[in-house]
Amino acid sequence: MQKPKIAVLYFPGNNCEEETRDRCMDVGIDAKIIRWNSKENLSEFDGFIIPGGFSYEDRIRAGVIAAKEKIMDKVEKEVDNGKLLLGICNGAQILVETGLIPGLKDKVEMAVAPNINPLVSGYYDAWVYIKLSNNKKNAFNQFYKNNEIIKVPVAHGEGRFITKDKNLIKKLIKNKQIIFQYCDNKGKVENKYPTNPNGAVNNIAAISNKEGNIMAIMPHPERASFNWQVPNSIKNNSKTNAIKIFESMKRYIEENKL
Amino acid sequence: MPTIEMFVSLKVPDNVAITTFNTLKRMGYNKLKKLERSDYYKFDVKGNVEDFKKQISNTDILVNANKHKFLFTLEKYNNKNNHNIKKNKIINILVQDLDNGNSLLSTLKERLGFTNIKKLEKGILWTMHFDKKVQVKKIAVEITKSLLMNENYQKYKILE
Repeated sequence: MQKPKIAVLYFPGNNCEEETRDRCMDVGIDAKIIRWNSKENLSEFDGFIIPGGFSYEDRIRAGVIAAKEKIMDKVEKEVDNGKLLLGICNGAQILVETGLIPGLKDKVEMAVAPNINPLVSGYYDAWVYIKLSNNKKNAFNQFYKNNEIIKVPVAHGEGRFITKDKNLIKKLIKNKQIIFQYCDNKGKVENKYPTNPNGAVNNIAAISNKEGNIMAIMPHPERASFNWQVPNSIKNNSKTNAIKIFESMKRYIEENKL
Repeated sequence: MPTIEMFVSLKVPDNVAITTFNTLKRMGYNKLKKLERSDYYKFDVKGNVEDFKKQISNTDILVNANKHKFLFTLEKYNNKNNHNIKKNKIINILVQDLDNGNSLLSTLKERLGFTNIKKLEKGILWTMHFDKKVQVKKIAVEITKSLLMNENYQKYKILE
């Protein structure tokens, strides 16, 4: 059986493309870094990841310039039929600025705004905990149990999911589109620092579209997939539960070969 | 209480404005001839205005004299930057975060002793130069909403 193929989309200023590609390959996905101006045929890929970093130096605001690039129109067409698309950190900001997340209307419905953090203004990095927000399975959470806690790093200045639409969060909860929420190390979801590191509404760490094939996640699972990457853990090659996001993507592609 | 507006822009080419201009061209806004960007501050201050202007322009936080230039009136700012004043129409759009300026105000007050500042607003001022034939306001607002701001945490106003 042919391995699933994923394109890791690189924009100028991204800096997580290699470890993102490596995590895909670690779970048996054939991954390739594709530049934003590549002429490569995107229809050959089963899915796409937009990695973290600072595309276009976060000019104007994080993710917005990349969101207007032509390649994003092509990606949008590809994922319309159910191919998966994951945005990590800056990738998540790009997906929100395209309107693909949360994707309920044909417009930008949310922002990933500057952090609100009582100690640090601007860029903030720390290890945090996230957990599933609901039990609906999608392309990214197939192997997680309810209440399973995942330790992952955040590293961003603009990570606060926010919306001006007062009803949107209710809709996201109803549709089970809030996939991961920030929690403490016991799994308690409390809207206060440091549990919620950036002031995101409803402790949102990751949101999907309604269909569950596109997800924007602010923390970095690719930086926390093996014990050797995680502080205060035994330094060996054992996998952590953060890698299940990539394993889930592989299974989703295999089961839904499009 | 006197209100002072301050416009701080780069002496060197502004990469953010250049990238933004190129992106707008790519989005089809071909009537836009030039785009400039400056940091905008609006202070409500107690005391002598001229003394305050001197003090605030000497703080390294808002102005680095090696790379920044600054002015205190919009008219002067526009005149200084518009070399084609007869050919182009100009519009100034201010983009601000909804939760505005609080951390800068506390820095200026608590660390630098500007206790005479009673209120501070900050934002990014975008100055757009258009061909005179176009509906400047309509296009400028469209550009603002589609690229320069995210309405979920920011607001805009036209500065006359």
